[in-house]
Amino acid sequence: MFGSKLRKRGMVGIAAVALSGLLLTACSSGSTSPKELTPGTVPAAKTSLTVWSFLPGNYDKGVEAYDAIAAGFNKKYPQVTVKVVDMPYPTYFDQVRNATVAQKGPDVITMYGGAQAMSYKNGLFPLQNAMEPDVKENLKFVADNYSKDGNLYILPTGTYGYAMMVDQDKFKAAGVDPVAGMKDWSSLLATCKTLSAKGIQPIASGWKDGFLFETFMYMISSQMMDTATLNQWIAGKIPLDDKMFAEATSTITGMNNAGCFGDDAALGRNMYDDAFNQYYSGDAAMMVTGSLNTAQEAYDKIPSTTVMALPQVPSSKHKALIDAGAEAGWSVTKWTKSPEASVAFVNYLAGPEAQKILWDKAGVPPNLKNLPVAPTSPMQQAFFPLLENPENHTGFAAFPLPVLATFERNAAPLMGGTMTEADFLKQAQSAFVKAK
Amino acid sequence: MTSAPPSGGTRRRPRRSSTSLDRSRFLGTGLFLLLPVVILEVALFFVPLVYIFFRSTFDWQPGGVSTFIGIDNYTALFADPEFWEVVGNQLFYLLGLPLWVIAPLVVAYLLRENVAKAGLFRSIYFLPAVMSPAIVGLVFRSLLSGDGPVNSFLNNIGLGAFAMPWLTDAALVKPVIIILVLWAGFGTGVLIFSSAFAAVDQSQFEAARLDGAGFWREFWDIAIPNIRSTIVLWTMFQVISIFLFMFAWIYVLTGGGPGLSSTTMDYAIYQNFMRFGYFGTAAAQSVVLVVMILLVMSLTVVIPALARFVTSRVRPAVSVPAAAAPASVAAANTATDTAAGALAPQTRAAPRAAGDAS
Repeated sequence: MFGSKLRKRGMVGIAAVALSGLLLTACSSGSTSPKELTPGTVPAAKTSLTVWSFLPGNYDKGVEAYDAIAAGFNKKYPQVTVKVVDMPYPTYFDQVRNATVAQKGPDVITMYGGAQAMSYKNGLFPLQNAMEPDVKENLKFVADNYSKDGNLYILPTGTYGYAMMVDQDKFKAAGVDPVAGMKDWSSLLATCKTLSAKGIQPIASGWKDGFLFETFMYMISSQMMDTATLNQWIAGKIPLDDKMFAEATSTITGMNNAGCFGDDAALGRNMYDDAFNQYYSGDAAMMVTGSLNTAQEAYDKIPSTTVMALPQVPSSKHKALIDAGAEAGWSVTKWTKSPEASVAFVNYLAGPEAQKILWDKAGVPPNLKNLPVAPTSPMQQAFFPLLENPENHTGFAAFPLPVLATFERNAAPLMGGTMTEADFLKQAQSAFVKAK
Repeated sequence: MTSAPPSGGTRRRPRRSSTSLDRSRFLGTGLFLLLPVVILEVALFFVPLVYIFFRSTFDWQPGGVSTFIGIDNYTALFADPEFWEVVGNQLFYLLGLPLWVIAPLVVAYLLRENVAKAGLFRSIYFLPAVMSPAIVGLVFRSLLSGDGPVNSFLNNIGLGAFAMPWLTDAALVKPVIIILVLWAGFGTGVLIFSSAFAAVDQSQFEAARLDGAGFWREFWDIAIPNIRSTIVLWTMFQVISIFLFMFAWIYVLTGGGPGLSSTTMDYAIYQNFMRFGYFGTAAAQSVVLVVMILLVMSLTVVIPALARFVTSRVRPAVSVPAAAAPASVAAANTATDTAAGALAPQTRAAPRAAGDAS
């Protein structure tokens, strides 16, 4: 009798465990069929799209510009209402991660391509077949944004290009001709020494968050890559312990040794953003920028500002390349309420109408071959020739997130001399190996 | 169909005393009132824990295909030297535990009596506890940067040799964080210990003083035994804090660097899950973290119990001779033996030794 009861209880227990397992397994089953989107007709039924982006906040009139884009799309597709949610950058990707895990959230999001998009691939549709013919024919920087699994998860829009903002008055005060002083790599290092000797910090710096280090890494490693090497890098076939990255790291620390970033005390400045303030307040002769808007802001504050290319490093494979590519891109989430409307919207964003709005209202240079825009302000006239150099490319998007994390936490110790280049690269390589 | 009561009368229940009934009702009500908490605890802690454990056996791909891989996530985790470095960091932070317990304990004891404006001091000490670690972390990051005010001050007063890369040197960063966490939690500790001391019967101290006990004698033999359970509670809280609440500090101060030298488990889990999308690894790491906390917590219970056991076995051999021991010591020994709750006022124990001495 007792044994029978025990057996019954045991059976009930086993059944409960099995049921729990089944329930959990049921909860765990994800979508197993990766679908690809193609352009198609947007259904006539009313729908709404929620769009998450950190881009509107980047520009003075960014919100206005994206609202105009939403209105323009709504004019084209009256049945679709678009709500653009301007989100703060520091927590943006956490929110996207949460949405990816929950498989719930916005229909369209701003995303970087390559390795970064791939980290969120379970939440994003591949878009290589979703481009409308006109967009496909004219969109630039598409190849740079493919992920190593062979998918394109974003439609890239806008153009950025990393260049040096140069305060010409500071150069003159140090007796350096800006053009001659930025002619080649050895000239740059000599310029750093001359400016330092005159008590002028050559390049504004802030290493604590590592973004400045990442920026120089993109700028220099892009110079070191020819097209074939870039393709290998995008495909994930070049490790971080490759000679190229060791050289790029040495080049940055070499700049530091030449006094380009000021003395030891200046290295303690906190963040990337602080470095901009340092330049704006006239405390440095140069600062790096990727955005025409930022350069324009600098020009408005310091009219002697111009932009020039970072000189080519000795092992550069190019004549005058600057690291340049798409400002960011747009992805369609797998849980979108209306894949057709979302595809239409990302194509609209990548098309001439939306990019023209962005150029007119927010000053974001388009990345379309069929949308030439004329520079008008002195800063635009200085920046555009750099952006339009056909040599330009970027390996930015192919840096896996775990590798960037090592750069961010180790940049300050590396530049401050408390971490060796070998240790720095060893950690980056370890992260690269783990990146799936 | 209902059965009729036997012999036409109502069935009599066995008689229970009214005390027993009251206790039963009280217990029932108590359990009923506890139910929401129990349900919440199960829903918010145990279910997620079981779920995370379940997930840790998968190559977890939310929204994609999650493949069952058994213990592979654990195997990979334990084979990863970086994981052990993080565990090492976590153990290093545990070295701060005595400091985090003793410092507020001593200060609370000092503030106990004869200190003007003791309440004001407690409020000042408590101030950091009401500030967000993220904000405080940002402030300290600026203060401790290479050209920050701390190093500038040291340079200006001729102590430049002590100006250090506080947060970017692998050897310095953990001790610095231990000090900062002490600063942040110090006030709360002082407040809790002050409350505990306030509940101790002051006559014990007065008696000890009459018997000639000094400051440290009072502290070790009366104060500490009387608030032992508060100390254990605070220690446990600090242990949990080391494992679970360091995130904001690390996130803001160092980002886990330089290298991994300041990374904690919670920060590593966040990075793996939120930033890198290594969901299975993060799940396995979470399970390991819970196991580590349980282990360390059990040590904080087991070690004092062992110590008490050993003490009780050897006491007759090492006890202070009655004639030489002040009454306060005996009182304290009695308090220790009773192991009463620290927050409960202690009745003055019959001074066995004092009686002997007199």
